[in-house]
Amino acid sequence: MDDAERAFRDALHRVDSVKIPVPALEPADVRRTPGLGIMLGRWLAAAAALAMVAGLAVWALAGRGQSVVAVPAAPSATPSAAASVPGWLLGTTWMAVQLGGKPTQAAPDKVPFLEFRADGTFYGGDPCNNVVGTYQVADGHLQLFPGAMSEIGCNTGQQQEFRTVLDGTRRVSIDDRGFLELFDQSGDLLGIFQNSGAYATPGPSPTPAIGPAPVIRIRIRNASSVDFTDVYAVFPTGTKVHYGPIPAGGTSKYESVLEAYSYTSLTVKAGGRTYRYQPVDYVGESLLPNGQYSYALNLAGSRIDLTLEHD
Amino acid sequence: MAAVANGEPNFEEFIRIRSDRLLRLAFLVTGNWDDARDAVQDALEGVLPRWGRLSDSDNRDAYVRRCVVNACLAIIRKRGRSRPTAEPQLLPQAKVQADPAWAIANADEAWRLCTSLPAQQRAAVVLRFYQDLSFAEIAAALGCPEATARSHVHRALAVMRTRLEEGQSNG
Repeated sequence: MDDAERAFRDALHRVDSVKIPVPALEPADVRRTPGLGIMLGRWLAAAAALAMVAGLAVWALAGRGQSVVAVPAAPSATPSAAASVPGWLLGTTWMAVQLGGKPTQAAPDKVPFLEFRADGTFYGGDPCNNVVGTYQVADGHLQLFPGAMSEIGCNTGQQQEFRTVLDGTRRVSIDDRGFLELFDQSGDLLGIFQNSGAYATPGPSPTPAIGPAPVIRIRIRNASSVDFTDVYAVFPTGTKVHYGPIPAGGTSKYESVLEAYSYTSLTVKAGGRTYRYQPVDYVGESLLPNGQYSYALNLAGSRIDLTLEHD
Repeated sequence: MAAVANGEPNFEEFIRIRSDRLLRLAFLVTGNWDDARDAVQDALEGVLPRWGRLSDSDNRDAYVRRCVVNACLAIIRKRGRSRPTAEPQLLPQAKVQADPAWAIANADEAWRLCTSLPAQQRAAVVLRFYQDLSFAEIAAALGCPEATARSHVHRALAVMRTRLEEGQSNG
């Protein structure tokens, strides 16, 4: 352990000898979640109210437990709770850059988007299929109540992923880089959206005339003389991207990622063998700025040589 | 006293046993005691409905720790980009385990650095040097890849080493 590690350890362990200046937590402070009957009552109340809103699907309201048993107001098309919506959520189009752990397609007409209105409604789509719904904010948690979504089928897999994200979202937050993050009830990250600027014409039929979100796009170039039968990359955010087969001298298509360095974890299959490029860490590296890059891969003996190219 | 069934504490007993430790963890991540208490309370409220399914004590502790860290990060995000209202005045009065003056100065510098780190990075540092977790455990608590957890800690250490070197050359 060096001086820096020791300093952190000493600094942090000082808290062990401090008397905690706030009241101790007692079991009674952790409010009880209502029992099944109450939850069912909430669900029915939500269903009854939402049934009056044509085209809206019904979701059970899973609000925070209350120490006083009470059925909270069911979500409506114009929830008063919208007043507590954080300002940064409103007035902009959020373009998906990652859904269900997978990067979205980069083509602008394929990228799902979300727009939140101050009146408690949201619009979304991919955008050949639109969805309209309501949202409700309570105690810092946000729940979406999406209505029926048409299924024309521009991109079925991505559509389903988008729908899963909408259905499962229980909390949103904005990260240090300004990305909108949607989390499920367990705190698992469902999707990441990027602020693509103010939406042009708030209205019932949003057609975002907005270009592709500025993201990092990375492709693989096979700089070797053998065909790659399969290539995978795992980026620092944990996103795994499948680039597929790439012939000798060829390039893959670009894939969008949130964060990338001049190298990343790679698996290449070629000639019946599997080659891995596994960085130890990214210490001292700077994140790549938005733009298009190629990882040029060459096979040298049993290892992969990687060179970053700015396209 | 609440019942302890099969050697495993029930939820109420768990709160009595662990809330103190969880509060200190949350304080180190959020930077103030009120937010820490809110974070632990929020986290335990979320844990309660799942308590019956958290049978294994290791998984249970890891799950609760992840919930507390998530709650801390959510609170930090909710309060926006404003600086945390850290309460450093409480800490310098407390004992440093190694007592020489240089250790106290270094620990003060480390605490100042901690309060200025981005939330995820600070949480990683706290989990590493306060909770003595492995990088895999930190990654699980933060919900990020192990390489990212390792990178968070190494970056903070790199800054700390620079500050210590600067302190030595100035002193």
